[in-house]
Amino acid sequence: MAYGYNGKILHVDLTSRQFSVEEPDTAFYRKYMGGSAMAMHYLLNEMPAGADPLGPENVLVLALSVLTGAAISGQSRMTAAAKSPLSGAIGDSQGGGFWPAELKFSGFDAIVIKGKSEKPVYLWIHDGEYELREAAHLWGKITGDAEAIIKDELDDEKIEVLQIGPAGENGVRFAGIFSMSNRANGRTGLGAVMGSKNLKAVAVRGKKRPSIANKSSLNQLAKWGAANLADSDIAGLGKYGTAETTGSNQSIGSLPSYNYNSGVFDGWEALDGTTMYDTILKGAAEGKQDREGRDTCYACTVRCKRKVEITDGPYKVNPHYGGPEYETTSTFGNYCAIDDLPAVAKANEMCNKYGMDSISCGATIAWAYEAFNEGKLKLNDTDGLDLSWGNAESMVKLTEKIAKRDGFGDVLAEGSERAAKMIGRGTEAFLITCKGQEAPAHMPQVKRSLMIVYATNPFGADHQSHEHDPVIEGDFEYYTDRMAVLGFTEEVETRSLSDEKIRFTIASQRMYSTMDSLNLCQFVYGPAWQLYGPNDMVEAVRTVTGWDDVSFDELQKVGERRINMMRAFNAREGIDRKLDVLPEKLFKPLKGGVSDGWKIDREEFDAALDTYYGMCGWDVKTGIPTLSKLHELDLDWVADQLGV
Amino acid sequence: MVIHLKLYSILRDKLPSETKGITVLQLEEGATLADILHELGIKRRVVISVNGVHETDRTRQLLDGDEVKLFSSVSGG
Repeated sequence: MAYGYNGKILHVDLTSRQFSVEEPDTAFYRKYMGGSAMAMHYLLNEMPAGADPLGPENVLVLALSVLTGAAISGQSRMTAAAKSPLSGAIGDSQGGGFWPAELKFSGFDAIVIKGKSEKPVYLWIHDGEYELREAAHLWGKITGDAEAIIKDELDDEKIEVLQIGPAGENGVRFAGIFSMSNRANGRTGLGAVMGSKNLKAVAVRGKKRPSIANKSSLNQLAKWGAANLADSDIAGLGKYGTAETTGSNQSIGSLPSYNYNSGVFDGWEALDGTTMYDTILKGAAEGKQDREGRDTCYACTVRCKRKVEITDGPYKVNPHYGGPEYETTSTFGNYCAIDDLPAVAKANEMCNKYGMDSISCGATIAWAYEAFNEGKLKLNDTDGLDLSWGNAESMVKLTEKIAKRDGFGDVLAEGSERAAKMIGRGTEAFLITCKGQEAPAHMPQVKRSLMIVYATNPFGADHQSHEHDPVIEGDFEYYTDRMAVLGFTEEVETRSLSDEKIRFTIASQRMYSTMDSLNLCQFVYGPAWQLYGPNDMVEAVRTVTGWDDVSFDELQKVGERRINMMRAFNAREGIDRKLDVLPEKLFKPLKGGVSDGWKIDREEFDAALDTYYGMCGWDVKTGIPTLSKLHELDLDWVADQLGV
Repeated sequence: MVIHLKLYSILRDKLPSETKGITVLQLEEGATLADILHELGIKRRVVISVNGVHETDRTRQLLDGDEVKLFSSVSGG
C-alpha cells in the first residue's frame, strides 16, 4: 500500500483538451520523492530541447511530495517548474499555503500541463475528477476577484485556487503563480508560462486525507515541534515575520542597498519586521496583531505569514493580499533606498494582486533607479517619473505600470537584463542578475558561499538553495549536533572560501535540494537553526511513507539527483559554465558600513568554481555532469539525452 | 556605568512589552557583552551591534554610555 501519496499524476494537454492519469510505481516515488526532483523527471522527458518558454511546447509541472498533506508543520508546499521565460534556463519555484495539501486531498500528487488552450480556461479538480472550464470572464481579473468568482461559481468557499494575475496574462517575465491571493511560487517567471497557455487557474477541493504509515510517530514529531517552537531559533520568524532579519543583515553589512552598491541602509529600522509588527500588521492598533495579523499554511504552527492592513494615508493596503517578506521589504525598500514601509507594503499588495515576483520586480525597479541617478535614464524615458533614490511614490507607480505593461513599465516587464539591453547607454553595469534572474537580499560579498550558489544555481541567483555561512562560522557552536549529521565537526574561519567551506556549500545545497523535492519549508526544516533538523526530516519521511530504511544519505542523493537533472536540462539548452557568472558589480567594492570596501576577487571566485565542479563530480571545464556521476545517481537515461 | 540597550524581534520579549525592547542597564565597570546576554538569559545565537558597529567578541568590555543592539540571527527568506 502507498502511504503519503496518491500514486496518481494528472496529465493535461491544453491544446487537445485531453487528460490522462499516470500511476507510477513505488520505486518512482522513492527515487524522486516529489516536488522539484519529480518535476525534473517530467520536464526532461516531455519537453524538447530548445522549446520556446512562452510557446505550447513548454511543459509546466505542479508537483507535491510524499509528505504533502500530512498533519505536521512545514509540509504544505508545491513546486512549480518549467523552462523559464526570464532566463531560458530551468525555472523552479516553491510556494506554500493550503492549495498544496488540498490538491493532495483531491486525489493527485502532481499535474503535468502541456500545450496551449485556444481560449482562457481554468482547471477544476475535485475528489479524483477533473475538467477544464471556460475562463474568459476571469481573464484580466486581479487575484482576489478571480478567486472569489471561482469559489462562488463552484459554490464552495473551501476551494483552494492557484492562479495567475494580469501580469501572468500580460507575459511579464517575472510573473508568478499565486494561491490565497498572497502565497507565491514567485521566482523564474512561471506565471508567464501559465499565461502563455491561456490557463488562468487551477482550483482544487478534496476530502481524501493521505494514509500515514505510522500515525502515532507522526503525531509525536508534530507535538515535539509545537512544544519546542517558542524556544527555537524560528520563534522570531513566526512572531515578527522574515523581515525581522533586516536589523541583523544591516549589522553584518549584508543589507543590499542602493541597488547592491552598499550593504547598509540608514533607513533600515523603518523596514524591520519589529516595526511592521508594531505599526501595520492587522490589529496592531489594538494590540491584536498576534491573532489578526499573522497567517499560516496547512497544519503549520509557526504562523510566519503577515497580514498588513492600512486604512489611512496614501497607501491603503488590504490584508487579503498578505504582507511583505524580508525579500520584499528589501527589494522595494533598501534596494531603492526607500524607508517608507506603507509604500513597500503597497508594492507588495500590487505584486500579489497582479501576480508578480516581488524580488525581481523590486530589483528591476532598483536597476532603473540606479540608471536614473547615474543620468542614464531621463524623465522622458520613465514616463515622467522621478526615480531619485528614496522616491516611494514613483516606485509604487512603476510597480503597477510593470504589471500592466504600461509605458516604461513595458520595458521593465522584460526583467532588468533584457531592459538593459534595450536601453543600452552602459546600464548593463547596474545589473545584479545571474542567468537573467535578479539577486535576492543576501550579499555574496559578505556571506561568501553565496557567490558560488548565485553563479552556479541552475535557475539563477537564489538565497534558498543552500545554508548560508554563519552556521559553519561563528554560530557553529550552537548547531554541532545537527552539523555533524551533515559531516561537519569544526567551524571554518569567517569569510573564508576554503575547500571545507565549499564542501559545506555542496552538502547543505543537497539538503536544501532534497527539501525542495520533499517540498518542505526551509524555515521549519533544515541543517541548523530551523525547527526540525536533518534527522527529523528522515523521521518525517519514515513515519509518513513507512520506508523505515530511508537514511539521510539516501535523501541527500535525492537532492543531488535534482541538481544534476537541472544542470542536464540547462546543458540541453546550451547553458553551461560559461553562464555560471556573477554580475560585474559584485567585483567592485561596497560602500559604507561594516562591509565597506568588500568585494569578490575574480581569481578566488574562478578557483572556487573549479573546486566546486570537481567536488560535484562535474566536468570542470563545462560544469556539465559527467557520465560516472549520472550513473551513480541512477540517471543513465539523462546521460543518454546529453550524449555524455 | 550606563548602557543603552535595544532588543529586536523575539529578543525584546525578554523585557516587559511596554518597553518595546528599549532599556537602560546599570552595570559595573568592566562588564562585557557576555554579561548582558547572561543577565537577559539569552542562550541562542544573536547578532550584536555596539554603537552601530557589528561586534562578534562577546568578551568585549563596555564603556559608559555605549549603545548596544541585539538582533536574532537567521538567514531569512
